[in-house]
Amino acid sequence: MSLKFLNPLFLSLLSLEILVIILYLIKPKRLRLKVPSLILWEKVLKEEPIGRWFKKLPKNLILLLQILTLLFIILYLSKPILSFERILGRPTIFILDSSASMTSEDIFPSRFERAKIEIINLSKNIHNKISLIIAKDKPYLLTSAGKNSDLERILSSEKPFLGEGNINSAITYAENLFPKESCDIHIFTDGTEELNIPKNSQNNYFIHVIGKKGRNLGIIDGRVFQKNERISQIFLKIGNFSDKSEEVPITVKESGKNIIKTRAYLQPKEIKTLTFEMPLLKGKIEASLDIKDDLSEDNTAYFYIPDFSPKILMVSMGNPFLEKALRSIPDTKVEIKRDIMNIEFKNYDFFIFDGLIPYFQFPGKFLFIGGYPGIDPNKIEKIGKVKILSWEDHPILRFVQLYGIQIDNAYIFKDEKLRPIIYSTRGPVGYYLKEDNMEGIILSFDLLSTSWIYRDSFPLFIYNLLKYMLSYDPQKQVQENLNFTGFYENPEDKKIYAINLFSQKESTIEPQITSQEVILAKKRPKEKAYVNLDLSYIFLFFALIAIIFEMFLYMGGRIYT
Amino acid sequence: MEKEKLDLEFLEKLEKLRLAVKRLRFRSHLGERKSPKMGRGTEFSDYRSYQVGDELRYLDWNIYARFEKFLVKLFEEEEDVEVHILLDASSSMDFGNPTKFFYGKKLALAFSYLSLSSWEKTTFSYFQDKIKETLPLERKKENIYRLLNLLNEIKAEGNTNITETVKKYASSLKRKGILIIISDLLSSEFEEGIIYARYKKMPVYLIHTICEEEISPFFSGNLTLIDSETGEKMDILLDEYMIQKYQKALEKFLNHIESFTMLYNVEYLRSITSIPIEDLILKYLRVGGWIK
Repeated sequence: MSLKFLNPLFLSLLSLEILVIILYLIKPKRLRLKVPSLILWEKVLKEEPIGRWFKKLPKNLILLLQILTLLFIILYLSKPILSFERILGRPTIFILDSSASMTSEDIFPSRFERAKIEIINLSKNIHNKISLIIAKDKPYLLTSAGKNSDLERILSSEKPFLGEGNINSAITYAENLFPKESCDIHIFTDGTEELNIPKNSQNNYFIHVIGKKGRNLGIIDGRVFQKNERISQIFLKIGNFSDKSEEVPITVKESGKNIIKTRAYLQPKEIKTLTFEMPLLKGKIEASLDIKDDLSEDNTAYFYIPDFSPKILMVSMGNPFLEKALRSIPDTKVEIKRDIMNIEFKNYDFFIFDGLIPYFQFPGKFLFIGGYPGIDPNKIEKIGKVKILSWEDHPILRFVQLYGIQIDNAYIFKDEKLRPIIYSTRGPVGYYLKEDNMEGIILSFDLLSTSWIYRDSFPLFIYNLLKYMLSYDPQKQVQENLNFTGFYENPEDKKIYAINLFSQKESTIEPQITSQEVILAKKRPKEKAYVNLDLSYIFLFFALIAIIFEMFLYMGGRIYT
Repeated sequence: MEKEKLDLEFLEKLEKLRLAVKRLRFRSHLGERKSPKMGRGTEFSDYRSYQVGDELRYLDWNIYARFEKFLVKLFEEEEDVEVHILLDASSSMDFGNPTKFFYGKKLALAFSYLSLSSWEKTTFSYFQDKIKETLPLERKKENIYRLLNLLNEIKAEGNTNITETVKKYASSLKRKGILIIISDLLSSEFEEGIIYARYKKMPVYLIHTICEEEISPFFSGNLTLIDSETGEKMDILLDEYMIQKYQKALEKFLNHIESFTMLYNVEYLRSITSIPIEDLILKYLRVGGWIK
C-alpha cells in the first residue's frame, strides 16, 4: 500500500499554515464598544440556546479549523492517491433451484429454506459482486453484481416454484451473465436433475446438494375421459419413489364428496397406472394419496370437467336444417331471431347469422353464412355453380365429408384476414376468421342452395364447430403466474382450470448427484491488480465541512433558519 | 460634553406653565395648588344644599332671598405640595446625542423651575447606587441658579441602583410629596423602589429617557460590548438578525415598564433624547396633562 501525490508541487503550499498562524496572532482584536448596559443584550443571548455551549468552546478553535481547512484544500489540490495491490476477486453467481422437489421436508424446514440459509451464510464471506439466479421453469435473475447485504433481503421474500424446474437453463443463463469474466458459480439444488455443466467453461462450479433420500409417493399424471354418455374414466399414474414398498390409500372426490376409496400396493420405484370407471363425472374432481410423505405437492391430482351447455343465437329468415342440427346437440339452448335488432350479445355463447349479416363487428364466436360484417363489396367475386373439392385438416372439419357437394350460387371473399378452409372447384367457399376477440367460420354460400344440408356431414360440422369454439382444456401445469396446485378460475374468461404438478422428475426427490466442485478455471493465474483510491475528494469534503463549521462558529454558534 | 451646558434661556418659555399634579389626597400646608377637595380656599367652586352642621357663614343669603333655598358656597381648597426630583446620574445615562444625562438634567431643571414657579417646596437630588447629593430649593425661585450650578458640575458615572435609592429616599421623607424620577431605567429590578414609593402613598412621575442608539444600534460586526456601568464584556456577532432580536427584547422591556406603571398607577413618560426638550415640555407634557 502506498500513498502518492499526482500534484506534489501543491504540498509546498503547506508553508502557508505558518502564515495563517501569524495572521491570527496579528489580527486586529474585536472592536470594543461601550454600551449603556448589557441587560438587554443578555436577554437576547438567553433566547439563543446555542450560545451557551458555544461559549464553552476553546477560543482558538477557529484557528484550528482554519489550519485544517487550508491543509485539506492543499491535500485536495495535490491529488493524493492511495494504491494497494490485491488479487481480483471473481464475481459470484448463485443459482438456486426452485423446483417443486425443493419443497421436500426431508430436511427441516425444507430443502428450499435450507438452501436460502446456506446461500446467505456463504455470501457473508464474499465481498465481490454477487448475482442470484432463481431456476424455475425459466431462469430469473434477481440481482446482478449486487452486494452480499442485498441477498438476505431478496431471498427472504422468495418462495419455491411448485412446478417443474429447469436448472440447466439457469446454468446457460449464468454462463452468459459475465462473458468476459471468470466467475464462481454456486449451484444450490436437491440434485434431482442432472446438471449439464459446459466443459469449456471459464467458470468454476460449486455444486451444493441439499437433500437426502426421502420418502415420497406421488401422482405423476392423470386424466378424466368420458367413455360414453353414461360413464367417465379416471386414469391415475402413481409412483413410489421410496426404497420401501408401500401400500397407499387413494380417495377420489367429486365436488367434495367421496366417490371412490381404494388402496394400491407399490413396489420400491414402481410406477403404476390405475383406472377407475364411474357414472358420468362433472365439475371438480380430486384424486389424492392419503399419506404423509416428504413431498406433499404431488399427493393430490385435480381435474375439472366443464359443463357443455352453450346458449346459441341463430339469426335467420328460416333454415329448418340448421335449426335441427343445433337442437340435436344435447344440453344446447338455441334461440332464433328473424332480425338483427336489439341483440344482447352478452347473453349468448355462440352466434349464427344465416343470410342476415350485421354491419358492425362484435366480440364472440360465430358462424356467418353468406357474408360477414365489414365485408368489402370490391373484394367479392361471384363464382356461381361449383362443387366442393377439398378442405383443410381442421378440427372443425374432422369426420366431415364434403367432397362433391353441389353449391348453386357461391362467392369468393378476397379478404387477407380470412383463412380459407373449404375449397370449391373455382376457389375457396369456407373461411376461418380470428382477430382480436372474434373467432368463427364464414361460409360464402347459402346453405339452402346446396345439397350439404341433406348429408350427415352437416350436423357433424355444426357439432364440431360448437365443440371446437366453446370447449377448452381445463388441465394446466403449474406456471410462474399460477404457482400453486388446485382449481383456478380465470378472471378474464371465467373458466375454471385444474392446476397440477404432474412431474416424475420432481416427484423423484432422491438426489441423483452429490456435492462437488467442478474447477474448470483453476489453470487461470490469479489476476493481480493495483487498486487506486483517489483521496482528493475526501479531503475536499473535509475542507467543506471545516469551512461550514468555521462559519458556524464565526456566526456565534447560530444557525439561520 | 462641555458643550452640553445648561442655561436659563428656555426656562423663560416655561414661565406661564404649572405642574399639574393629579389626585393629591394628603393633608398639607395651604399652598397655591388647587386641591380636588372642596373646602376653605378663597376661590368659589360650586353650590350644594345645606346640611346640618355646615357653618352658617358659608350660606348664600342672596340665593335664599331670591329662591328661599339654603345653598352652601363651596370653595377650592389650596394645598401645599412637596416636589422631589430624582435624577439618575449613572454612567449609562452618558449616551446619546444629546446625552440622556444632559436631557435628564434639562428636564430636572425644567420641573424644578415649574415647581418653584408654583410656590411648591422643591427638592432636587441626583443618585447613582445611592443618593449622591440633595439640594433643597425650598420655595425660592432664586434657588434655581444654585440648581443650575450643581447640574453643570455633576457628571454621569458609577452604577445605578434605583430600588435602593428610591427606597431610602422615600423612607427618609417626613412629609409625603410628589416623586419625579428621571432615569434610563437600565437597572435590574428598578420596580421594587417604585412600588415602595407607591406603598408610601407618594405619587410617582417616572420619566424614562432613551437615546437613539439604544433603539436601533448603529454598530455591527464582531464586537466586544462593554457595559458602561459594570465593565462587563460580551462577545457578539452583531448582524441584522441579532439587531432584530435586540429590538424585540427592547420592545418587550418597554412594554413591561408600561404595564408596570399602569398597574401601580405611576405616571410614565418615555422620551427619546432626539426630541427637543422645549417640544417635550411645551407640547407633549401639556398634551399629556402633566403641566398646564
